[in-house]
Amino acid sequence: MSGEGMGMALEIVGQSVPRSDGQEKVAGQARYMDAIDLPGMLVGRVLRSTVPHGRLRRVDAEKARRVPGVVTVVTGESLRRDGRLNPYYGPALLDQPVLAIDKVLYVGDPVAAVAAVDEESALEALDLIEVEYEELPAVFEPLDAIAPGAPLLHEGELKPGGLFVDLTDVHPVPGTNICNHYVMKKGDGEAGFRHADIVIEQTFSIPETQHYPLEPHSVLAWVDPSGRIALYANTQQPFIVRAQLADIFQVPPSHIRIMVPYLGGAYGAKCYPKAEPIATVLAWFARRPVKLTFTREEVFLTITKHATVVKMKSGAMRDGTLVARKVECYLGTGAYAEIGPRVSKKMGTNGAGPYRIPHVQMDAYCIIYTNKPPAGAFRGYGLPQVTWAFEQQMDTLARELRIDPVEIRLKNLFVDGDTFWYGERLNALGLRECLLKAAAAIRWGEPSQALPGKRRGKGLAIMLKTLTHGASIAFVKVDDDGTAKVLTSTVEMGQGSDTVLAQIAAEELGLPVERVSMAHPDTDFTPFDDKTSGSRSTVAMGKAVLLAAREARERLLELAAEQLEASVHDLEVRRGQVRVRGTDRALDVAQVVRAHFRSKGGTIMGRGEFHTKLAREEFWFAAAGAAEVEVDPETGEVRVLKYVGACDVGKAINPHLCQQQVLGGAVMGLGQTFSEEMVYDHGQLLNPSLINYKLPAFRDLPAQLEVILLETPYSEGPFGAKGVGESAVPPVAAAIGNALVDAIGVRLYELPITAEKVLKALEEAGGAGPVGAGGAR
Amino acid sequence: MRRFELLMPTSLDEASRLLREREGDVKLIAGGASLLILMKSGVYQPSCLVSLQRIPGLADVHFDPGEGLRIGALTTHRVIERSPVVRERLPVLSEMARMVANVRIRNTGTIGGNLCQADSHADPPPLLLALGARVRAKGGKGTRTIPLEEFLLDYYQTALQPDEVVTEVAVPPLPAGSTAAYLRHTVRSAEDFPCIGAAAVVEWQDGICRQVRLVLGGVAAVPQRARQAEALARGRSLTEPLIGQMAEAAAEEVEPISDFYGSAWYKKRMAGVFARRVLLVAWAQRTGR
Amino acid sequence: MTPIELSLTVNGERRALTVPPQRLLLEMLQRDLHLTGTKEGCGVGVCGACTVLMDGRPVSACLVLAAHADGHEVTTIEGLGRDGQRHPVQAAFLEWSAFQCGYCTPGMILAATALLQEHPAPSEEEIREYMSGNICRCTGYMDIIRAIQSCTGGAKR
Repeated sequence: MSGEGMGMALEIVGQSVPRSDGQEKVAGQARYMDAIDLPGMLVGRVLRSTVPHGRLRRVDAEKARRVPGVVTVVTGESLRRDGRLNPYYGPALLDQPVLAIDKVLYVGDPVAAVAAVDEESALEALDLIEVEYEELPAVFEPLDAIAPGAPLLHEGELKPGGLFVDLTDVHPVPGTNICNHYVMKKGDGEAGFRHADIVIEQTFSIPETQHYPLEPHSVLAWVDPSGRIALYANTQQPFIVRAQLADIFQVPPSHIRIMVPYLGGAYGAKCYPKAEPIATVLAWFARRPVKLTFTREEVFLTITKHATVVKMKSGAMRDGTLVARKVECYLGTGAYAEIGPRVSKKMGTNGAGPYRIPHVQMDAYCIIYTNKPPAGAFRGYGLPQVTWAFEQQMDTLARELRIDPVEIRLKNLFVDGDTFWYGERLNALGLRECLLKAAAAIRWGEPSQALPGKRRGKGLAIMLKTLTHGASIAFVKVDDDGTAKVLTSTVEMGQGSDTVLAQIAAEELGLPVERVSMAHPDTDFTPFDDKTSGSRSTVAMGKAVLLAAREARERLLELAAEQLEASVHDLEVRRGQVRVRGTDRALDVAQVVRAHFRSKGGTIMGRGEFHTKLAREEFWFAAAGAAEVEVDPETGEVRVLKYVGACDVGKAINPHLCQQQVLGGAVMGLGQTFSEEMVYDHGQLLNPSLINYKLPAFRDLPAQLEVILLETPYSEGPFGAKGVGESAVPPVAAAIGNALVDAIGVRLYELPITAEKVLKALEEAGGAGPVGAGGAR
Repeated sequence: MRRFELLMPTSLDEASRLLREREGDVKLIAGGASLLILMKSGVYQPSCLVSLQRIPGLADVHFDPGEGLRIGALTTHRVIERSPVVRERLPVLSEMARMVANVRIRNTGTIGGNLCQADSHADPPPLLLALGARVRAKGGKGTRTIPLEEFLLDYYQTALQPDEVVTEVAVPPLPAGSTAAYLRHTVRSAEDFPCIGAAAVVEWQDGICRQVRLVLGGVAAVPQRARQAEALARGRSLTEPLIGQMAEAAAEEVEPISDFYGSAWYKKRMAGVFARRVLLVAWAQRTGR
Repeated sequence: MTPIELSLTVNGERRALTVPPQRLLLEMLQRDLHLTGTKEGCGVGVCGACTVLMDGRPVSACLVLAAHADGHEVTTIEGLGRDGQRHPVQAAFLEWSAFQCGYCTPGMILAATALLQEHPAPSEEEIREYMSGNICRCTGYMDIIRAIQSCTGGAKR
């Protein structure tokens, strides 16, 4: 019946139609949080801990309360005394207070919050809040935090978050800083190593980094006269934030309404509650609207990517066949668990690499509490960390065994029909093709020609990521003028979901894409969606939209069949016309709706839902990256001459937007590879701004940046589509690390790859250029 | 931002008087490109700012045969970058100005503000020092001229008296036959302060190097002259091996401090590498190689 | 603190207003004039999301005191098109979908406008250099380069 089902030529899906948000965005008229105000709105500001670990001896806000213009000051103590709220929240464990109670756990932990008539008064009040800390010993690195005798961050028993079925198995290890330990085992690890001709052990590490969406976290919250709570918030997860706020305020979820405008980027930083609890608590006490927008420094202190140490041991036969792998991942999750346990599970599930290995022992170990800002979801969800490890280890094996790095991967990588660890049969992977295309694009096998005084090399890496679980529901309504509105709670944060979901609906409904528009999330009126993250919207919500559109279309055809006195089976809808196939008997969709309601008015509805099977990975997206680099052996500088990102997208609903996701992911990966790193001194973040936290700029781009999209259709995805939001990020660092080895024979194990580290490694290997010689003119 | 008072004098005397009256709790603002960053982060929290923007005559650039280029303190980097007189008289200064931050900052950031900020990783100080620039300042006790080498004292510290205002920077003309070059080495992003800035001014006479001024920025609190390296070349004909020796001497005599841009070890290495590279550029300019 | 009185031209309209001394140009545009197209992305002059044109020259509105805009002419994204028509650079960004989240876009478009005013036909090298002070965290930049090239007849879709 449908366009999808009939294999009819697609008219809208597969076209790079212009973005639906384009006109607003180029005009500067797109509405983000900074354009949303309410009359009488107060400004919220937060006082944060100045010590990494300490007991709160005294928080005295009396002077602050007396500042003219200050309406309310809230502290952890005032929350506890009030007694009506449950001050703890967290998606995995209820370990995070809205404002610190008894203890502070990192420099930046919120201690008190102020709502005032203007920013200046709020800042004056913050300056007058007196806080006395009793400093406690602190711990900052994951491996230190699990050493015997390490200071404990969370001393009491932690309650589970109770939100997600896949997190019911999260168990903190009592008396330690370990908040979860994920184990995955296949075969017999140690026995496997005994068979191996070669065994290699390496340790890799990755620092904390920032998502750095240009737009900071921002919330406008108010309590209406009936006592209902409402928020505008730039969240990726309105329903999950609503559930968490409902627990804090001890009200049913529907007592809270969250509306989401356009987001100025997110990349995982806007998952789970961020500014929402503090803003809402301020509004609740002030009984006036409160807008809380984090400063950039606060964004740095709110959420990071997990610093991780990966210890990896692999055994292989002389011909390159992998036989055993043992992996230990130590993730520093910072002061609160946040969604760290799920990140560790994902890292564990995917952390042995996309290879057939008979014996695997994975201790995707521990999410370890440290006295640092919380770490959580970050584009790639654990994959960027483990890919840096397993793809450099594959390269090391290849070099040790004198096998071509592409060959050793081809010998071991998963192909359709293989079985994943927990028994799932793999299909529609496209992994092999990604690798081969990326290799061809950098002319793999042809030696690099370096300029005098420089050295060049090539490298590549692959990855396979599983889709996260969750449910998505969509409503489609077709109105009497022949336009359609799609109601979903997918958040448009730049990825292009408004455009892609409208394309899917338009294709299925047979309407021109201009006649389809998207609602933005409003938890009162748009249906449930788990989240906009994990590369899931095109697949999960796309499928829900497809099914909703199909239902609306079937209803339209039924009505049109009566009106045209034809059989439903003889009808088609294209370009807004319902037509009896092969004839000129046709009605505009608008006419069909109006005729049915016999009035100028009417709506046809369709509903669709998609959900993954409980807590199990449903499909895989594959990617490869390949790089050619040039190294200056005098300075250690590494220049990327060419980078190629190859991703299997199943079906490119909008090829241009898919390409952009790959380009953007590759450039974000380059930042993680070369420059991005949060630097601390005893828990104090030293670089909380773009002055000393450097993002890739135009001039930092590779000379050539190329995208390859592959389309191996995924049967469950809409029109065969898979996700592409994260695919390009994980391979970048390892591809460049491997190219570096090809260029100068030196491998780096710690990100980022700085010029200084390269020079130092070269020097240790005896290959650095001397100061006074060489002809680098 | 926290509250402060903003005063906008219309003459240098008035500005100097205001600085005197509010001493200890006042900052002078030119373009604001650096000062406002430090105020936002709370490094400075003055209760009063004195703005120079309404004082006429502080943004002129002209050439004076005796004093050389006279650049008003409020001249922006962008004006220096594009000024025909700078391009004609001292193209190296225009090229350096083009490397400062980004085009927006160059449009508001001023040369006077930059020097008064005394940031150890700024681009202008090493080159201006190599060029022998002098700073003119006016205060309650009149006007004085301070060689840049004596003006920059330490991290964020200058020789200015509390009531003095920098009015212009004078850059003497290059002796005939001189060549000059400036190179910057960034390590984290091209959009970054330099890890090392290296400036060289070479005075030639009949193919012989009469005098060299070699200055390295970013290695210490203030730009360092590599005097031992300079001495090696005086009166000699430059060759690649000699330049190599100079670079080694330069690396030897700097005592870098570790910071975000690199460890002391790395900066010492880069001091040598960029001393050599900047000398090679200055040499190539003369020989046309 | 004595408020500052100033008068300036914003997007071709004369505006007279009184602001507190600490007001930044960016805050004045957003809060006092409700021109929210100008974005704050870093507050330290690095990202360029707050790029506006002052007397035709790009500046970081987050690092300019409102008082220093007195007597000047300021152009924001809202003032770029004329008579409801898109400026050619806006049209090119639309044509190339040279944005994703759109937060850097107003600043990016104004910077590109200033670039094209200065170099009507910039090379890719010149585009990369001039635009390098504007950060885009989403797109990987390539479509922005192509959009700017298309304004000079360079790139074709």
